[in-house]
Amino acid sequence: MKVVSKKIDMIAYFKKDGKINPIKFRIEEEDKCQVIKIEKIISTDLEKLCGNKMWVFTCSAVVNGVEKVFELKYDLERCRWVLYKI
Amino acid sequence: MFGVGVVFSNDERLIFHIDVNSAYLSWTAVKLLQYGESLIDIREVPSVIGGSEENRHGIILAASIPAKKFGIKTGEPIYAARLKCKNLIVYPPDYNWYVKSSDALFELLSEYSPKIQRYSIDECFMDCTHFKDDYMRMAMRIKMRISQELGFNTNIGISTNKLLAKMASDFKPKNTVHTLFKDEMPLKMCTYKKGSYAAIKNLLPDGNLFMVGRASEAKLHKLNIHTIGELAKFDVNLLISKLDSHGKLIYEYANGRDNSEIRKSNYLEVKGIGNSTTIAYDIENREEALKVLLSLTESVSMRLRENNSLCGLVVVSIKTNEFTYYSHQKPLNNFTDSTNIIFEGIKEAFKEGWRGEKIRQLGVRLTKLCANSYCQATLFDLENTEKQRKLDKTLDALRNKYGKECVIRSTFFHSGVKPLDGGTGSDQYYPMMSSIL
Repeated sequence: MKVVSKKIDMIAYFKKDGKINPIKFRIEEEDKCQVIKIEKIISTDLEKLCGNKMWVFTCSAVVNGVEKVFELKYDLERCRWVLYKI
Repeated sequence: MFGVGVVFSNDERLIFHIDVNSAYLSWTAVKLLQYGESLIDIREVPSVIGGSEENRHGIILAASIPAKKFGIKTGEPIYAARLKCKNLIVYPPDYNWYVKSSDALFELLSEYSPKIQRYSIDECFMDCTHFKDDYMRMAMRIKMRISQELGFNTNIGISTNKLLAKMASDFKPKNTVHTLFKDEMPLKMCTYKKGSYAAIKNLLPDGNLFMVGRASEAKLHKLNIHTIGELAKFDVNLLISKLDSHGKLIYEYANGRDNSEIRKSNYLEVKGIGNSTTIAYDIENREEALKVLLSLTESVSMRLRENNSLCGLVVVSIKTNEFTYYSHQKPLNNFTDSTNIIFEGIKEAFKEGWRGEKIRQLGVRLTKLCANSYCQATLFDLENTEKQRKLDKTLDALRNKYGKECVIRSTFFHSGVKPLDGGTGSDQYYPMMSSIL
């Protein structure tokens, strides 16, 4: 996996117990837009580097016919999603 | 290293001093990594945190260890550092992020002891007397947790008082737990710097003994004191006669004695409140200088009122474009906390003091403080003062609630001068360093 750190549009659902489940996201590249549906959430961790809280999701999905593993981050304070590593 | 054989007497405390390694730089590095804004760890390349050169705040606030190898020091101008290292990377400071990081550190430490003093934004003293039996392992665990959870490295200094703990955390290498107990002083104090004897030879090459700076060093040289050891054995009465109470203090420090408590707050009794600012261009006329002074007065008098104090003396300090520095003070007729009355005093002080040069930096300072619980009212304008107080109070409340610039004076409109100036640019509480342990 390589760090790409790209802002993305996300559809996720928030469970009753406060857990967050990302479902699918849209990534904009130069001229095209791609929607990626998350197949599986492999792990969920709370990162609090320097006290800045971010949920880190390691997920897998099929992109262009190939299964890929990637890392999504949700910034709790700014309420923003990034595709961190792929 | 594991402190085997150190025997504590029952009444002795055990103090940890936690110091973040190149704090501003490390914190910025972690931020860049967390957001993936930089692929490299800026702690591993020559990099610095510096103010904006355009606004002439271009000095270095923190430097990475590789940058330090080029001889780059904190406090030097960025252009001078660029001459030393061509591919130096400069990052701007982010004070809100630093406060957040500092808060996170404090929160983590609070799990280990109820008695913690935030000595500055990147330093904490912690009473760990309850860890006496196992202090080394506890210190290592704390240090490791900070590295893993918060992402930055620290030095932990351990001793029986705050002074020695602070000196211990200064030791190299960085990212390590160091001890400095009283009986280790002669050994560790003279050998720690690159294993050389130099550190103790010039009493203070770069800050070996706390509270001995360039000025005291020169005075001590005159008394033929060149090492901390010599200072420790010197006649204390002679020191007091030459250096007053400061002589006594550094004599005690040289002997490793310090009984100061771990305080909840760093603010003891404040003797004065001041702010200064470096202006982006040289000011040549009075009008503009007064505007800057007014913006400083706004923030300083707000802090004065927050402190529940009144002031009786105002000081204006001026640094010219040729870096000469002077100040002028003016006693006020009455103790006050009103922005307008204080500014009247400032105006007069500036009028009397300024010699007409180009101005690079301006400062405002309020001293002769007293509590605001009661004050001497003037006979003639009681009504006016009451009105002013109410106005100031309302303005403070508004600014605290909606941000500093929610209400500003019309004179600042389109003037290019910040309506409230001075301080670290952070609107939150910013832990400041003090020279009192």
